[in-house]
Amino acid sequence: MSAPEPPEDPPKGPPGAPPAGPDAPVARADRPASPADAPPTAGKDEPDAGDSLGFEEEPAWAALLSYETYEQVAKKVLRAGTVVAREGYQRHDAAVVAIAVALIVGGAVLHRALLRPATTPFTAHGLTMQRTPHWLAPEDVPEVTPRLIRDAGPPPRRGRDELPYHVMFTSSLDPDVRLEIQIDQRPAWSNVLTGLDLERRNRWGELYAAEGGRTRSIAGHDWLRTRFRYAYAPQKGDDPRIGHAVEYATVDRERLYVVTFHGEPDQTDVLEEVIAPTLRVGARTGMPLLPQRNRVTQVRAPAAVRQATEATVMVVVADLVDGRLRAVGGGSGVVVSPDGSVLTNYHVVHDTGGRLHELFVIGRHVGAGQPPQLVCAGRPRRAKLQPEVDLALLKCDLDLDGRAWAPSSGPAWPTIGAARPEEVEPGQRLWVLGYPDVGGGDITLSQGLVEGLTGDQGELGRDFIKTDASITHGNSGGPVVADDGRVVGIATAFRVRVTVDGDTIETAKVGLVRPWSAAGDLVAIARAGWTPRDGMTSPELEPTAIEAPAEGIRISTRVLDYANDRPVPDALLMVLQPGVRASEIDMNRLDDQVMAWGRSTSDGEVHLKQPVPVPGTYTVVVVARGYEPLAGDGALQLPEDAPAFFDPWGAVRLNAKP
Amino acid sequence: MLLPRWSLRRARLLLGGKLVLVLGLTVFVAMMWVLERLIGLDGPVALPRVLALAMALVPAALWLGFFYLQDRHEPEPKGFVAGVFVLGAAIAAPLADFAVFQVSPPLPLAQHGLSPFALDRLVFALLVVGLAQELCKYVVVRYTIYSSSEFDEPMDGVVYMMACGTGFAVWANYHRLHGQGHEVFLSIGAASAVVTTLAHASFAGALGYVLGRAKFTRRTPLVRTVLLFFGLLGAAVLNGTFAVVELYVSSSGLAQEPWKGVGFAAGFAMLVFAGLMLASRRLLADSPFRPREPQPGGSR
Repeated sequence: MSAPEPPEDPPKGPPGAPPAGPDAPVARADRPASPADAPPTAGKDEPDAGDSLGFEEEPAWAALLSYETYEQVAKKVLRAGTVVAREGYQRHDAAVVAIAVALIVGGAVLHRALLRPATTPFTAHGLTMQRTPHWLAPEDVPEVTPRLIRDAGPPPRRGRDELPYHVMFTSSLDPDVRLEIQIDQRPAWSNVLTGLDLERRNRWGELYAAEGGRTRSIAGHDWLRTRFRYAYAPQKGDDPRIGHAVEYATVDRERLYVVTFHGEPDQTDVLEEVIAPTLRVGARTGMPLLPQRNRVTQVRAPAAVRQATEATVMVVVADLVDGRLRAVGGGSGVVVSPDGSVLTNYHVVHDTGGRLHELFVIGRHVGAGQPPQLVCAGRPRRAKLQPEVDLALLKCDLDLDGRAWAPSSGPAWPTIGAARPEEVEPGQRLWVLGYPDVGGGDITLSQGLVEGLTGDQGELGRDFIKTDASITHGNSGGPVVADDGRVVGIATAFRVRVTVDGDTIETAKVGLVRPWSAAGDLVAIARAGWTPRDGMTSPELEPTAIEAPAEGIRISTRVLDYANDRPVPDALLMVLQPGVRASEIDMNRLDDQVMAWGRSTSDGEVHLKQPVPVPGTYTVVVVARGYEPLAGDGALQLPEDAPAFFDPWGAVRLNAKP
Repeated sequence: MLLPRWSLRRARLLLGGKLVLVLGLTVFVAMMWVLERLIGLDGPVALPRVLALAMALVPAALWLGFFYLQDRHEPEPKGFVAGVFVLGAAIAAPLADFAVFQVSPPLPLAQHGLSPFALDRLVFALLVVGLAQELCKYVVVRYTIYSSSEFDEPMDGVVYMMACGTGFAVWANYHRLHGQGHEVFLSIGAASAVVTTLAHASFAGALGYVLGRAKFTRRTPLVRTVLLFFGLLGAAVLNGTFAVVELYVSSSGLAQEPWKGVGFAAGFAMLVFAGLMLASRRLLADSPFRPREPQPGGSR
């Protein structure tokens, strides 16, 4: 490298200058070596520093604003750059910048390492982890009153060492940054994902939104990681703000562990980075927490079958456990009316002791790869129940905050058509749709063949369709559809037979599907319209206590099948009170809405039990199993001179259900 | 316009230019204090952009004039000094902020040491912020005016670096006075702007001293590089120490005592500045442009 040294000869200083030492200034060769060579401007020789300010001659701001100045500077910079390139000695100076930059970066790395939150061990009920030290002492988290059950009493007091153990550490730096630890008995329902979702929704209210879960393996143990956000007010009267959280949850043989980091996303990221890898629980579990993702897209199903997923819902049942709302089980269901009636199995809504659960919550399919979204709730004790065929008709009447809500207030719920019973043949392909509770997650499709029919207890009969399609816990109540997407029945049960023959153990599993025809009464109610009411669980469709008009004419007619004019037995024909429209009919309020009614005999004849006053215009509703309900606003017009015994239509013809 | 010019000249003649400028700085702070009392401000206020900029610019302009007068023998072209000032404000300071943010983004939940002298604070103040700020000032001068022929005596290093530091302080003060959700006391803000400007200029001036010596040294390039590096490190240490001790002085537990901080900062900055001026006397004495005593015989 040719590092040009400054000129060897000491510069010629001005006359009388002190002798140049090693650090003496060296004038550059490209300019006059000294003021002696370049005569200084006027006044330079004057030692009056005041004059050199010279605001008057050339104001500094004028120089600042002058284009020439910048042009000059630019030229100088350019020239300086050239000098930099030309003069080797300046390369050494680049080392200064390089070393300084390296020091800055090193300092930043050291600084970050020094600032990494320190941790201290934490142990409780089998959970060990490293938590942040120096935070405020843990506070017990009070149980939240269940939003869905307003009349629930206060939760019982518990000791510090009892489960549930639920504490919150708050950062001493930022009160919105918190570490929450919850340890509880292992939930009865294995669908941890949806169970926790319901608890969070219950706790945080309607602005809660989850981004779904994924599993993360920490030291060989699966944890379900869920990021969610919610609105909250730090103190009473504060403006609500949006909180963010990341939750880690897992179960072992006995307990549920939930560790939640609250704070802004970058804050929860730090906590997650520091704490999550240290999470340990005592026993390792084989329980799959992995949500079943994208099963619908993995299975090649006909388009019609895929459409049926829209009408398939998850039914979660929940109870008050020690004053807290806990999901205790679940199944599937199928939407049977656009106003949100859901058909499921009776055994989904009652426990093993035969007691109805406190609540059911409906989760709807929102998209492939996503867990169902919980949308509304209701009380099983207000559902229509048919234990003898193990079916129940549910309808939400609460939103998830426990307020009165009607599913018909939103867009129409998608329904699916039904296959005719005679179309179901052995060997036909079937699709089972539902939410098996292993791991929760997305809707699951499985396929199989119709293997035959069987009785309730395995005897000959037509109570169930047998299939080899996988039906397991959680599928109960879900629709079983044919290739054309029409529903064949309700996945209800499975039988496992284990035979031991010498050294061989043989297991056989068969899925049992309740034929759709068994749901006739409930579907008729759903289609005609109903509003859930306490205690009105009977599917019997008959007014019981009608206040009959004092006088009027007697109506009689025949009810026939539209397709073949065969008589339709057991059809219910109702004339509604004046002013009640067909869309307003509520099968739970027939006594209030119906003025006269009758049931068809085996030859299709109906004689209304009550007289109908004349003159008048009435809405008529006809309901029969297996037929579309017929409802006509103003279908009965009676003139004043109508005969005392009158058949206004000759016959009423019903369409069989598609 | 005759009257002010006349007045200025008169005042300058009477008091000397530097004194006028220092007086101007004092008046500036006093005006803000009086204004605060007059409009009955008893708490911090969010300053509008224009006012914040003015409050950052006024002390900087006065200090710049003051520093400019230090170079007695061969005053640098005003355009160059102003240009380096602008480079300091428009390049060095934003570059330093950007660099600090890039290498050390704000850490949530950072467990800062409670003491202002905690290791993490020291590392950050000295090695990250201090070094980055001084490096940016250094780079701006080293790769522009340093190579020019106008940089023709060691004292020029002090002048140009101080101009750059003053410009740097404009950016720093503007952001201290006006920012997202920032609120400042008018008087404290003005005083701290004055002091911070002196501080930034002095640290840069210290580095400039080394820069000037280094350019004109006759030692090997390696020695010059080592000299420059330690000059930079020294400035960074001054800068970092200033920040740490100011925090220590101005905070007492959770309470803030801003006037104490300003007082300390003023003391510290003046100390550095005085040291620098003392050192500069030698440079001025060695200046090739220093007017010489008339030789016996009356000719130069």
